[in-house]
Amino acid sequence: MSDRQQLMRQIQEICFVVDDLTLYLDTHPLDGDALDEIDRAMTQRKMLLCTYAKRFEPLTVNCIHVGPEAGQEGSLGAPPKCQNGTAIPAGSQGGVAAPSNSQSGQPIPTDGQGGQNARSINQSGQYTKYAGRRHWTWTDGPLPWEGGIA
Amino acid sequence: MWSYEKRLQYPVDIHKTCPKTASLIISQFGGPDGELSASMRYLSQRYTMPCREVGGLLTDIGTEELAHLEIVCAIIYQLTKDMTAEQAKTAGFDAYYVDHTSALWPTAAAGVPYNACEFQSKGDAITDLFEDLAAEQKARTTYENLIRIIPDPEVQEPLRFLRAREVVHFQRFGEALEKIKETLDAKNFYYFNPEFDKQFVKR
Repeated sequence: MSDRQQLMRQIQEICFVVDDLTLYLDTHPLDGDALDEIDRAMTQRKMLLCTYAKRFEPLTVNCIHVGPEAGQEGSLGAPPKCQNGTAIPAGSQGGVAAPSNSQSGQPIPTDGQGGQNARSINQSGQYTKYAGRRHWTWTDGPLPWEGGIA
Repeated sequence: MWSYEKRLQYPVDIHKTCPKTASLIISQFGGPDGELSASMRYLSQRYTMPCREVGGLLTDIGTEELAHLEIVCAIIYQLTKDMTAEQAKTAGFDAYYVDHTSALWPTAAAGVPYNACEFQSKGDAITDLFEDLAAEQKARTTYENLIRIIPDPEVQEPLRFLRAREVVHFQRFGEALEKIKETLDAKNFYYFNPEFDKQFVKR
């Protein structure tokens, strides 16, 4: 499984926890254990969505960045300020690194090596036509129903 | 107000083209007990629900059904996107192909197009919640029917997930019904309709 698929799988899992607990809490609004669990899951979810947006493309409107500096370092622009105002460095090796507070100074990779699956729609692995330029990142990336990618 | 998240709630990755399977699964898109029907049912009923928490539940489940709709459509899309003309002639799919090629259009497996007669929004809290409980069971049965006759494990996986979600929704609606009963006359649940006879509703 590629990094993109792995990270997407984690996002799907944590978002499912949030979805299921949402329905449960709708009918059990005072359940303390459920409230604790959804709190943890929501925090984890935000972190994972942020990581994905930095490495690949935004999955929600909240993760889109179009400020003036966007596009100057790769297609994703300056790292979004997630959680306590500290920028989370882009994931380095494969898999999902837990966010650390060290500013590694690494340039954010341009969207390039996602999707090594042979069935990738775009064989070059790139999901944007505008890498390196300030652009609307909401249209980057594969569409959720494409299959073979994530 | 709705937002969109660019992901499926459950992954769909299908490698084998099969218009026949698609012609059956389409019922969970536009059929009477499908996800679109469920979604429109809950999203329509929620406005007049007297208990705010139940209105919230209907909104959340209605929204999740839209996400399930997306999964069903992704399955159908992947089953037919690489179809050849020869495959398009498959019995059961050929008529759909003539009118829609390989595009998605909400209809039942039997050919009845999606329409609002597939659901009811009756305006009585007890009635509507029983409608919803029944809807979830109908959806569960439909998924079980599909899982029984479709052998491809890549197709079965998301179907099993969707079936499990129907059971969970059923449980939630059961709890919602209990909540509604608390607002009703304990000696006679049918004494008044809390959605219409508001003068009787406890504040």
